[in-house]
Amino acid sequence: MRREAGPLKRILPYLGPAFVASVAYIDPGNYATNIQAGSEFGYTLLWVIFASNLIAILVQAMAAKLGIASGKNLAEQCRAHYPAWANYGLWIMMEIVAIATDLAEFLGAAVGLELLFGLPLWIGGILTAVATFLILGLERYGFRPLEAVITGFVAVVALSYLVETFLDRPDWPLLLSSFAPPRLPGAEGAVLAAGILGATVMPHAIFLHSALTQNRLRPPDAAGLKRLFRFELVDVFVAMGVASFVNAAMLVMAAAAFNRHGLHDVATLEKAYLTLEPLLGKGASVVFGVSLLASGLSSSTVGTSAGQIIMQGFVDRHIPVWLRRLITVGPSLLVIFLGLEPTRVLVISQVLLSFGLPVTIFSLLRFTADRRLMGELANSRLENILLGAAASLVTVLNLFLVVKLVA
Amino acid sequence: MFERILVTLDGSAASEAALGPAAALAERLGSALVLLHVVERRPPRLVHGQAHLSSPAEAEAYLGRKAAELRARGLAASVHVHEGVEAGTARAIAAHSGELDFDLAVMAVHGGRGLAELLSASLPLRVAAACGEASCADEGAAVLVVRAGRPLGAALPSRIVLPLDGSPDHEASVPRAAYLAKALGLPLRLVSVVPRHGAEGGGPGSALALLAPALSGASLEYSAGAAEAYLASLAARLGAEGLAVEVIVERGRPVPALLRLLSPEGDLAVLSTHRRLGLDASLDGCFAAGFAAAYRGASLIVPIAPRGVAPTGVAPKGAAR
Repeated sequence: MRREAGPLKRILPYLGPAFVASVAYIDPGNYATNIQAGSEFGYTLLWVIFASNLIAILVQAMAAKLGIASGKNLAEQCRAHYPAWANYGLWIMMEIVAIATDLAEFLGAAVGLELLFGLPLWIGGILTAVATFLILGLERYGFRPLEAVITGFVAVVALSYLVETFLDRPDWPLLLSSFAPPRLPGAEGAVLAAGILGATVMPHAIFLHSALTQNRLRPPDAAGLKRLFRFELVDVFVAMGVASFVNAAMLVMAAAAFNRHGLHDVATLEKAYLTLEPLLGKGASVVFGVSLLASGLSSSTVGTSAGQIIMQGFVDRHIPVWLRRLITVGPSLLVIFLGLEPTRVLVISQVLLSFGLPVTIFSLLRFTADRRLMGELANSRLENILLGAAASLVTVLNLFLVVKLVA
Repeated sequence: MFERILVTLDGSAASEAALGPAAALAERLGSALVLLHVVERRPPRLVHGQAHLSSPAEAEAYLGRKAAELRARGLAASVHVHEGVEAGTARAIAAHSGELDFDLAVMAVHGGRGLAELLSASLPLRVAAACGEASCADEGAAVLVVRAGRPLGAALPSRIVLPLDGSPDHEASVPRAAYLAKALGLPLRLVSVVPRHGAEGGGPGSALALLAPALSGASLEYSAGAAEAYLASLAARLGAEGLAVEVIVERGRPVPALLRLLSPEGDLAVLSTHRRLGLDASLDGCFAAGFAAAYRGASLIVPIAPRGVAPTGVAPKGAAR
């Protein structure tokens, strides 16, 4: 008689894909903020990366739990419970966040093309626009080979950073000292910290996670829902865990390549491949360029889908996917044609993302704590405390940033 | 149901492919036929290499001849020519739903349109979408699409296939499929295709599978099991009404998997649509749009009622005729 597989055996087939999913959390926004943070401040902001990843794990798990338990995504819950003016305000804010997200992906891909082929940024931008439309069409057919190629290139860079970090033998005591006490070195440090936070926690990903089980048959009983939630925990712990180490490794290598040699202000995405030269040699620029291009293009699907879910949820409207893509491509091309420095723009775009977090996380807390909505999956007291602390920390950081910038 | 059947003709042999199935259905169901031609402001001289009606007078004469042929078979047939189309042919046809009181439109499409179908939906799909809007009747007329050059067997199908995904919206196709199966004495095959992994469904599913593969996979595993239970329950209900029903649950990409289960010569696919069209539908992973573009047999497209309009089940339209 066959015995039913134990819990670990049931989860094992999904561990591989969850590792692969970590690649989806490493986008051009992460590249830019990590490289700048490491080059300007050495290891000082390393604690921000791990804190951001812990917040991301918590928030995304809660978002998925909301969708699993209630059958509605976060935007739909807001529409059901908030007044119309609040929903329109939130929708507009999130659309700005979506544009900022797309901007980062766009610029990253365009810089990748510049690195690979020496193309002027504006040509890279146009090619990226065309490529993102093509990918939208290919995704319709679940084009697995393309996904595998994209994943492969980003994974190469991710692994390279991890390996390099250990080979480089960083100053571990100095590295660990960044955690005790955690600090923000001035206004610029606060900007980069907010950028790291926005690049890691990603407000649009929160809305997307809450829509994970929509349009699918859901278990009618609490036991089935809890089982689904356990798989989500596998996803976030494995994927975000791996992503946190990769992001940390990027910062550490940027600190080694630039900050250690007194080069505090030269770190741009165009120069960031230098951080990979110790391991990859002359191929570093090619590998880095391809991974930047790949991560930018692969993230475009996530941003577009999130935008559709956000609009449908908040204001019950639907626009064609291609039109959404066209709208968000516009500001990205404008930034390129204006000749603004792409790395700095990338960092600012991630800072914008962080401003979308407080209201998102507080809303998530409000709904996941509600037993009428969540049933047996309602938050425990500890979850409420952790989520509240995360929302408060993000809010304080944003306020600190505003005060520092104004001052 | 299906008391008045609309047949749209443009003078070409391709469009006349709709006459056979429409007449066969009318004979079996006791329906009246209405032949319609919509005169475009600048009608083409040819369509698919065949002459296209170019004036109201020509259309009246042509439709009159066809109606006479149908009456000779003992069928009730009337004609209507609509002039001066402004809002598009599909909307013009759908707008006649009230005036001509039809609840089934039979239209022929010529071959496959390939990429063109992905960018701009075929006329039957656009008519179904227009019929589903709130301005039309409560349930919206369904559209029977037949392929010119691939006649529907002996003009009538030999089996009805009903793809379902468990969502209440898509059950809009069930009453009409059941009605046809009962009226024509046909077996019914209920099919559910669950993607093997999140990216196979297209649309937001691809992004979600990218971010959360474990949950996406587990959710689909649950969906597959739940689909079997759902179809079994529906099959039992339909079986109690005297229908012969079989159930199939497949895993894979929805459109290709369903196509493998269908025989274009004899199977009539009955599916519902949210009325998204063209590139929007293609990019959003809309099943109906993708299937309609790929299937070479006949399909009955049922528009899903707009929100706030509850489907009323089987309800004859208009006054007794």
